[in-house]
Amino acid sequence: MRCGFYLTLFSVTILYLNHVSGQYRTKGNQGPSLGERVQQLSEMAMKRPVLRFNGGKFKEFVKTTPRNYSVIVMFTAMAPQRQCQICRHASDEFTIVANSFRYSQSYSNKLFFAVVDFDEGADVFQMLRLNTAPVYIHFPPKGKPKSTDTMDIQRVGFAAEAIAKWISERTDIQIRVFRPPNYSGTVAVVMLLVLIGGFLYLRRNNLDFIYNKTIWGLNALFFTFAMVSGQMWNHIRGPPFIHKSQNGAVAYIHGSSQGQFILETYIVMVLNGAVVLGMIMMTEAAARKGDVRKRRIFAVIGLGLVAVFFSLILSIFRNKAQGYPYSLLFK
Amino acid sequence: MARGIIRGFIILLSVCCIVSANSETINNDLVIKNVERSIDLQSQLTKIVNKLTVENTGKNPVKSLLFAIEQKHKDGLSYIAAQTRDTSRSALKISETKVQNHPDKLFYKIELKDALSPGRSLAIEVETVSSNELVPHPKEITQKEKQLVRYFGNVYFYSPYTVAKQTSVITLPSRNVENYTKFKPVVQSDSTITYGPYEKVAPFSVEDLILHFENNNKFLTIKKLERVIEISHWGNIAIEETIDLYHTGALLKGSFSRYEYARESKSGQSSVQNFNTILPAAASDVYYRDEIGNISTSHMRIRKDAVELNLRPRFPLFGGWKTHYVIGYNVPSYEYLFNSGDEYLLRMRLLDHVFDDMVVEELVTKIILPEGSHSVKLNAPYSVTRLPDTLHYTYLDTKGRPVITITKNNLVENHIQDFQLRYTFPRLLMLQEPLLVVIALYLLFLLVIVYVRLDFSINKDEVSESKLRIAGRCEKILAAQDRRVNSYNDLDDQLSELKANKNTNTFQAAVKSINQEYKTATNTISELSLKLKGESGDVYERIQELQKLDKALKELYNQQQALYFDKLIPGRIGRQPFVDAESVIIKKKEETVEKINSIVKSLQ
Amino acid sequence: MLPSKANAPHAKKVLFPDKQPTNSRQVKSSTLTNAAGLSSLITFTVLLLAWISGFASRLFAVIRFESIIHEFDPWFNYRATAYMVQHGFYNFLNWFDERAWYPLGRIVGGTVYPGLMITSGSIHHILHSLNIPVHIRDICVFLAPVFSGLTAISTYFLTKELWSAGAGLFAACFIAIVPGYISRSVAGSYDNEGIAIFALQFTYYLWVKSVKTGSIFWAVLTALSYFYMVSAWGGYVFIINLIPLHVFALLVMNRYSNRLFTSYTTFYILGLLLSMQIPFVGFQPIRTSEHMAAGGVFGLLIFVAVFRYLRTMLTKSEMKYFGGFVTLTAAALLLILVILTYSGLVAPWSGRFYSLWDTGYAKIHIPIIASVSEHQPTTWFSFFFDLHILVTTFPVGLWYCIKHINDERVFVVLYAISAVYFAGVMVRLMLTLTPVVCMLAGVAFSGLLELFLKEEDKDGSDREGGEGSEEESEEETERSSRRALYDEAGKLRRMKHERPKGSGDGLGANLRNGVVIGISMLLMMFTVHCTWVTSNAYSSPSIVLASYSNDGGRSILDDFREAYYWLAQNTPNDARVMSWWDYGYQIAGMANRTTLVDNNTWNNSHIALVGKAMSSNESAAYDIMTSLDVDYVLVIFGGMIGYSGDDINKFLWMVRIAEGEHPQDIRESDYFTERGEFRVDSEGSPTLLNSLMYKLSYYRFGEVKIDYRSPAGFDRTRNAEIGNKNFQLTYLDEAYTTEHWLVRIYRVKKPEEFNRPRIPIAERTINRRTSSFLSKKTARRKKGLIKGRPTVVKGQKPQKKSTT
Repeated sequence: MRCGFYLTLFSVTILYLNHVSGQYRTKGNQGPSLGERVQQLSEMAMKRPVLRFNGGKFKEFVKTTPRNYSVIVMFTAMAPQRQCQICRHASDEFTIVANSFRYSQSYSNKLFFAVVDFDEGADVFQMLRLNTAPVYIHFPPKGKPKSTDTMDIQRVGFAAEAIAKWISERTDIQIRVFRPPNYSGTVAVVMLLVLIGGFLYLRRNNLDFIYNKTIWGLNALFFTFAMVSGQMWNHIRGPPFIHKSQNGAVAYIHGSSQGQFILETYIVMVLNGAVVLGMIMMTEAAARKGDVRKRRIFAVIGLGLVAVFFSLILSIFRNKAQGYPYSLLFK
Repeated sequence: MARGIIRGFIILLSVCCIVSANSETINNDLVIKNVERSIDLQSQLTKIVNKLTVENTGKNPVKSLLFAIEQKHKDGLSYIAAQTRDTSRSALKISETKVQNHPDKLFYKIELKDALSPGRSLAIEVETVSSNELVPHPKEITQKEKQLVRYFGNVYFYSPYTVAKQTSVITLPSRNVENYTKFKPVVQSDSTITYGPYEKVAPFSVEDLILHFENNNKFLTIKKLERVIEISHWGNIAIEETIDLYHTGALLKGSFSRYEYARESKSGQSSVQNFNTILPAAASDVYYRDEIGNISTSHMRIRKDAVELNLRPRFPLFGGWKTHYVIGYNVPSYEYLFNSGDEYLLRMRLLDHVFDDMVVEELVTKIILPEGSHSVKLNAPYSVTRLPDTLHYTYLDTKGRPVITITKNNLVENHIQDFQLRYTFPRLLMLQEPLLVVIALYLLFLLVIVYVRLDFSINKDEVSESKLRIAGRCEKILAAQDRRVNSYNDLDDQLSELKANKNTNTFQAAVKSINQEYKTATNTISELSLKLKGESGDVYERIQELQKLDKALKELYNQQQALYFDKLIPGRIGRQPFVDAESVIIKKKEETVEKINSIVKSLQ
Repeated sequence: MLPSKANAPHAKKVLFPDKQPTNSRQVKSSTLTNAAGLSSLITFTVLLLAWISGFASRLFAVIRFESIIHEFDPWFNYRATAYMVQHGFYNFLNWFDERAWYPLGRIVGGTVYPGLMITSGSIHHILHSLNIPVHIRDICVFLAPVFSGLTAISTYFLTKELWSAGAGLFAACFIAIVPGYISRSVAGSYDNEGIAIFALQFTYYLWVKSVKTGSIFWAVLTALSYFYMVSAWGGYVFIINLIPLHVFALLVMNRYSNRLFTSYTTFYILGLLLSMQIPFVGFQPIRTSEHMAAGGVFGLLIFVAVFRYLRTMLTKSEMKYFGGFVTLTAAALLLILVILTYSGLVAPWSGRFYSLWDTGYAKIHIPIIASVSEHQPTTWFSFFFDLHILVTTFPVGLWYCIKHINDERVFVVLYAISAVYFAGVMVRLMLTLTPVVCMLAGVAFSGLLELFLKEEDKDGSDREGGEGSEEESEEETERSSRRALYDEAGKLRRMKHERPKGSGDGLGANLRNGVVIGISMLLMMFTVHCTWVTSNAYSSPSIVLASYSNDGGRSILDDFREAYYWLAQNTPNDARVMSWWDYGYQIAGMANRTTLVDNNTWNNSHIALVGKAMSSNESAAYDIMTSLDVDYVLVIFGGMIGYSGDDINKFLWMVRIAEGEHPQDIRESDYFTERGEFRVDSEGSPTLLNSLMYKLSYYRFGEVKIDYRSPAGFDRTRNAEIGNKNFQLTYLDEAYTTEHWLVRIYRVKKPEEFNRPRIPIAERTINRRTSSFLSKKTARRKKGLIKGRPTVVKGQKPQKKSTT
């Protein structure tokens, strides 16, 4: 989450600034009139929903008054050497919002989306005293942007929905976010289906492997283990794999009963599997006819598996649950 | 018991007196020589004890005298009693009455036990208790203010006769009195105010007395007290009281601050946090709850003579606040229920103690008698109104239990007295409820049995039926087979014996019977198998197989027998060949036996 | 004669070595015939014991506290039941409750699943017609435990249909005491789930039965039981999707049979018609997507039937056409469905249901759902916590069900797979997983013990062995399960020793004993675990709090009821009480006063309005409150005794929900410090320190010194000295505060009361200054420095305490 980088080239910009201001003044004097600017903006917006501003454009379209349109500007640093990988996501989301506004029926020339990259408009960053990226700022038609016009990223995040909500708060324009449907998942599914289909087609002369209960059984068991060991929780909450504390100590098991680590869930999965294996071995040993010694050994192993691994689970559980009194082999 | 009866008798009399309240006249011969009146205003009640010395200045003896209550004290009055002040302190009969040309006042007529002959004087004591006479002033106070009340009375003893000399002593809860009527002579010494003595006061003379003083005692009124007494002849009496409690003191003005209430002892002095309820000593399994469950804040202390319950309402009661709760307990019936044969007598309190100096605006007492009790006679310690009887249904009731309902308004602690209830209850009815249970269970089991026995299926399940039948047949066949096996075994024994001691005739004799047995068995099997033929082919086949094998086996036996008879006994065979032949036969036998066994097993 | 008889046996041994066994077998077979009676006796005993122990282990709360209705929803159910008992069924069906959702009111009859109320109401009616005066509250309290016994029995039947009687007994014993089910069915938790699980299991049993027999009778019963389920719980959707799934799977596995056809068609039609009789369900079964699968499978089944029928009379070539025709129609139907869905005739999936598939859905779109604790995903911990050994052994049962698959086992497999998925997504759906886990674990255990307790005779032919082991296993099950009820450990072992030993199929007696002992050890641990969990985790009525002192003495904090009863007694009967929605049902149930919002969170905007009132400053809140003509405001404050589930901890959810509806007025960021923390001390943001909730919670708390070490106004829950002390309330008035300050009730002043210039000048200026100064402060503090995550994201746990 933490991102942003601090500017080092103050001297440069300070030198730059008076020149900028000069330029700004001239532009301010014989800048194009409001109608023209709106005209240009909407043309540009027609071409690409997110306008790329450099310092000059920024001043021309955003700083100059009067305006009857509000501009949402994303200040970012997309250049690879900035290593702001979060800016990439941010700008993706931003583009999504812009597109969905552009192609929504509520599209008007009252609102424009723009992006200012640090490497193109460092002066703007200076002007607005921004030293982090990405930042979303809303420039209302009248007056200067207030504090609430800067979107509070670290609270609401910069998901497209959040941006849209924020925009509708600032400028009462409701934007319904249309995400471009994410084809990767569907493609994968289709590929899988195609593969299976092809496989079946190739094996069409003997399809009895479909009736192989062992395969189905194994799949079912695996699915069960995955669910029972809380993979769904991992999927939703996205916990860390393991926890490294400051002093380098590595925790594989989450201390409290509320949370869990990914590795932990894998461990639990294995333990469950071992217990199940043990019970199956015992049952088979008793059910099968055949070599007695082998079956005895099987039964013993099965019993051992069940006892050992179940008590392992129990001890882990005991460590997570405060004040749980019972345990089997291990404390 | 006897006292109770007497009192009941008095009550009856008083009642009929009320009924025949022909108007009295004031007898001016009577003069009250001295009155010592003590007015107790410490609680929310006004308890007045008038000690009168009455003298008969007339010619003829006086049987009764009158006691007057002012207009304004009429409806406050809740209890009045009179007694003599001599050592016996026997209660005098007192009853309400009317007096000519004094319609506005309330008169009570005190019947003297023996007439007061002329010139004699008599000392009696009249006690009155009245409620709602202390009015809070100001009407509303904040949490930290203290509660002030006003009392409007009469400096003089209010009497229909001239009073020669009188003094009144007023007792207050505390020394701080806002003001009081200064009507000389009057003395205040710290929490008592003494008026008088006054000489020669004319009848019905009134001098207003106004007291304004602090009174932080419990101003609690029970708006409605419903007391249910449920009698069980199995040795228990259950009592439940539903109580509507109001704080009738000065209303709470402004906000209630828990902070101050918890911190400062002075704030909320007039509020009621808890009070003690005294239950009979035998009370057990007491519960104290309301609509939303137990009220967990209460303590029970068991004394020698009583069970003392310290009840805390869920919240402290401030002026104008109210609460509602239910309290119940059980008492053993032998203390209150007496019987001779089928006649029962219940003696209990009509009203029981809730808290000290209590005021009950309306009392409703319900007595639930056991089912089937009849001819109920109630006599109450004082005049009450009895509502029509109703019925109450509870566990295992068929026609309902009679409920006696009694009600009375404006009661105080002095009304805690026993009532008596006579009723008849045929003893046999006690068996009714156990019998009901027994019968119900009996019917239940009967139902189950019938259900299990009967077959409710619409269509018969042929397959299983025939299976069962076949199984049955097989059983029989196997039994027969067993018999056959036994016969074989016997035969073996015989043969071995024969081998041992070559005694043919015993053998013949034995074999005959054995063969008999064997034949019968075989026949049974064969006919059973015929029956089976229709039902299942393969079983039939197997049995045929069995029979064949059996024949073979029998054949072998015959061979063996023949061998013994023809060869062995005549001894026209050598040792070795005989052994060979026998072993051959025996081996064959064993093979067939194996086969037979396999079939038999398959048949089970 | 006699001597010959005498030494007959000796001769027998000579010649007929196996007549003796034959005889004994005769005897044995005769015992087997009444062994049926024996085993039924055993079954009866076990089920009875299971019922009793299940009932008993749910009574912790009643014994520790009293017979009282628990948390939140049960209070509404109880209130509704009481209403029905009082006013009769039809008045209940069109009961318009004007005491809820003021001023909107709530049509109760049309918005509840009446099954629960009808059940307990009819029990009450029957008892009273028998002159047994049981209070309706006690019926409500003990309904769930009683039904748990019925659940155990229906589970037994279902498992018996699926596998064997022994497995059934195991399953019954498991489900009687398993915490995953007890969590929703302790005495006093009077909620739909309590009876719904019974209905679920029973429906499944009847369904399996009808599939096996293919008789219309059973199918009709299935539909009726399904009807009961629909009337009882929203979870009926699970049934109406699982059974079609079963049918579909059977079709795919080419296991079509006329039995299947009969049972499903009967069940579907009847079930559809019946389920539409419930007012709350209404036309959903034909209007919503949750129910479409059933219809589709119905059509498909009929197609297959027709197809098979035609194949008997058509030639190959014609069949081709027909196949094409079928596919075309199917496609057309699907298309129609899609069109209907888009045209809105068929409602798409409802949010709660949808959040089962798209797991991130609720978090974004439905804050109310997301705010509820039981809608969170499930950790492995809670799986183990609720199921213990079963969770590790039921895959074995699953494995064997798949190995020896048949029609009904297909069903249980699907049941297990789907239930385990749902349980993984939502904690509360652990409830639907628990029964199937019990069944499969029962299968696993009974399979194992059946084999390991088999009595070995020399020539045990399979059938013989089968019978023997069957009987043994039941006996065994009976013992072990009885031990599973009360753990009489060791009884098992003794029995093993006196068991005749033989070494027929190898594994020696010692090994067998070892295994059996080991298994019984596990079962024993299971029982103790269940008891522990039940007594520690699932047996506290959150109405009454118990605090234990160091010397073990217990003191009861009864503040909730104190406050509610105060409301009930000392406020006007039509008073309107504003509180956060968690307490709506309790106020309505115990105080019998009008509430603005309650736990049936159907109207988000109304809740948001209350949230806005709570989170804006006093004067703004006063406008809202007067517009809603609120008379009293009730807040829960735990700072005095350190009760963590209080309103300040839930406050952020109020802010969030309010912000969702009124983004202009409420902004969550204003309630954080500039470092993005949520704190109530002087560091805290002024907006928070002046919000109504804060003031109502901490009014005059600044003067309280709890003990000598801590400063005045020290909040025990948040371990902080509060930031905004000694302020005055302008528009409200402390009406009542309970003994431990847990509940605080304020009276909203009427305009004429505070318009009088009673407030001293000084305080007035103070008020104004804080307010203006607040806005300035926030204005400057809102510089967006990207710092680490705000602590509040972690700190959300306490306010998830709220329940639906």
